[in-house]
Amino acid sequence: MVGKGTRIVSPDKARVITVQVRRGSGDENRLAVYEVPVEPGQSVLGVLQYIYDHLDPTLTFSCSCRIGLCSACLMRVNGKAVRACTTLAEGDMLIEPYSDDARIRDLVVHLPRLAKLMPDDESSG
Amino acid sequence: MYADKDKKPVITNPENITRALRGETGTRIIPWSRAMNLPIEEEICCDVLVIGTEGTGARASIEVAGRGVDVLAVTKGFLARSGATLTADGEIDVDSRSAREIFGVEGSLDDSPEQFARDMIREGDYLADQRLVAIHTEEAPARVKELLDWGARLEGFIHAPGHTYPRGLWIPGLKLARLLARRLRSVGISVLENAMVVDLLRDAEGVLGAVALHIPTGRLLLLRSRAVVLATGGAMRVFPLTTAPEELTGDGLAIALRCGAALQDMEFPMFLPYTFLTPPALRGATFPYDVSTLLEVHALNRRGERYMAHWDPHRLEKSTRDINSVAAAMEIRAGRGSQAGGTYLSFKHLPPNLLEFSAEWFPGNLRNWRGAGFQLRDFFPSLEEAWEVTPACHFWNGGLKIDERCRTIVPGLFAAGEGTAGIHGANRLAGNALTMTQVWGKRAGSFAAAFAESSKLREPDRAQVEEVARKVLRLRSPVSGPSVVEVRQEIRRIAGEMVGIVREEESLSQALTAISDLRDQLPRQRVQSQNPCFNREWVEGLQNENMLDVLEAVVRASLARRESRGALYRVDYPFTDDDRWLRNLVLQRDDAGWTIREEPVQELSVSLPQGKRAYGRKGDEDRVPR
Repeated sequence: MVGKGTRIVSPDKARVITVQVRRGSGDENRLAVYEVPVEPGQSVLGVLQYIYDHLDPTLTFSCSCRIGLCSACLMRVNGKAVRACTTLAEGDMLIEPYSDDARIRDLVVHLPRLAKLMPDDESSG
Repeated sequence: MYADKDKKPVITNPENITRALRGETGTRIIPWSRAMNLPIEEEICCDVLVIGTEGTGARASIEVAGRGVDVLAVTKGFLARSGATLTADGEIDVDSRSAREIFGVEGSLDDSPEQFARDMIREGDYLADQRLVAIHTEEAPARVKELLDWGARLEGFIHAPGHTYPRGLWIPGLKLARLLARRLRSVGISVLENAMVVDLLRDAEGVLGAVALHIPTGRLLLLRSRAVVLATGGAMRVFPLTTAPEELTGDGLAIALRCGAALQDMEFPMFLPYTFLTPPALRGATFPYDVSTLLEVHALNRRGERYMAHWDPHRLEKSTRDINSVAAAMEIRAGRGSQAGGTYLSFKHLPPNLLEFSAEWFPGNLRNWRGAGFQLRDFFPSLEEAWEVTPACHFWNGGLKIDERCRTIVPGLFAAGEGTAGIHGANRLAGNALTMTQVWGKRAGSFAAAFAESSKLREPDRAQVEEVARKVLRLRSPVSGPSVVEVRQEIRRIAGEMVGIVREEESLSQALTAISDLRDQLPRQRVQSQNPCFNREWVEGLQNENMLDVLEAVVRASLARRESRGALYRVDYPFTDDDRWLRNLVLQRDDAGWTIREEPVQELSVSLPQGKRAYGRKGDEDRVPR
């Protein structure tokens, strides 16, 4: 059966990283700081999901496909624009909204429809 | 049109709606709901409300608008940045002869829409509604031709397992989704993003609208319409391992069930046999399956055995996805699974000096070991080690019971695309999901528009609106039950551990009890944040009810079907029994509870098999294996 054998994070494999998230809406900005256990091969989106599930459900972010296609999880990690789902959580990090102007709340932004937002965004137009 | 001019809203432009909802403009509708002092913050009227904006919903909306009928398309996510269409990797099936004659690819003239229909019926293990299948294969070429006229480009042509002839015209889903979104915009269709429909509203005459939560503002919207089209996709997120995007929580199935519609073939959620289990960032990614269709791969258990030999000795890993998934699940169940609880997929049989050319092997967006947005060689530098893979829930074969005109049994309520039953039977052929979006999206739009032209906007029942609103308001009040996250985790635990891919009576019965216990907790779900703006917890709280309703339908249908067929494998009934079970199971629920009835399969051109057979043998084993 699916699920029965899914991997449980073993404590020796997981290490703890410090994640700062710039949160708020409008002119409000505050840094929330979380300590998150990560196993090898975990994505930034996986880290955010962990925070929401286990530490702080008030954090909001958007995501959809989780495989690097839809761009709903575009955000800035240590200043660089990335898709959270295909970016590995390799150490301590600062996560910020993709754009302050378009921010709705926390990491959710209203992205311009169909605009080319990333260099590899081949099929936008 | 719009016979009731006085009820036409002041604004239908989606940008204006969104701005108004954010409080950025002074424009307000003073609507029926305000006059009735209901807890509704905005009211929008339209002729046809289309729920879902991607492959199916977009196509339906374009059709409605093309007939001069006013349409509002709403989506829980962002347009062209959500939903399953954009993840399709990227075949759209038409019969091989049409592919050759209309699109100029290397198709076989021996194929025909009728032969395509026969393949669908066989691989759907004879449960498909043959009238719907005939329409599907007949209309597919014209729908794909339209896409090309609108600017789509064919990037290849493939022969996927289960098809007698090559039929997969390659158009990546992401490009398709964006093409349709551009089309929506160019024909001026109102799109309301980030609006989650909480429930449909109806009276004795049928459906008359819906109540939605506007996620960016937390406001409740009353959406009034003459007809509704559901294009909301499947419920794959019910399962813990899935290839599906976030939004696919079965909302359309659940709201329609609660509105009186019937569900069919709910025992057949489809699993993709080979998706990554590790590393976590790749979990559920479909690349291993894609590779398995393009290359010879070896699916192995922990003893190194190619276990597919026991299930489909000719086709092995090229067997259909239902059989591959069941076989993998049975290996795991027997304790022969991988380290992390899956199975293995290996290329080790290929010599290393051949593996050097592997970057050239795959077409289009898979070239150079790219899988969706991932560069896989970053994760798997050596191809000499087997990948750890797992079946993951990929598609919803069953769903709302519809007829040829996409009508549910609730007047005015239409449905199309994934989450409707009858097209695929017990198992879907590869590449046929995108075809479904276009053929059936167009049909739903056309029939819903015609229905709207001959019906009126009607006033909702006050008590009904209040009851739906109460669901949302309850999430805003302090309670002491389990958190919305805990409820979601429990739903997925039940789906993974007690339902799963291979099922049996004992665990299914336990699942029913667990679902019933959890249902008692639903009104007391705890949320921590009361911020009305993009509150994930509110959305999850509403989704939890939908997922639980859908999961219960899966369990009840799986318990009732005492045989194995297509995507359903019953460990306690491992045979396919054509004498007893060429029946569709149809489920409904009312205040008195659930009813399940058996209906005979709708035959047209293919005669149904008889007798009992081993699971996976589809009655024409003389067919040349690929």
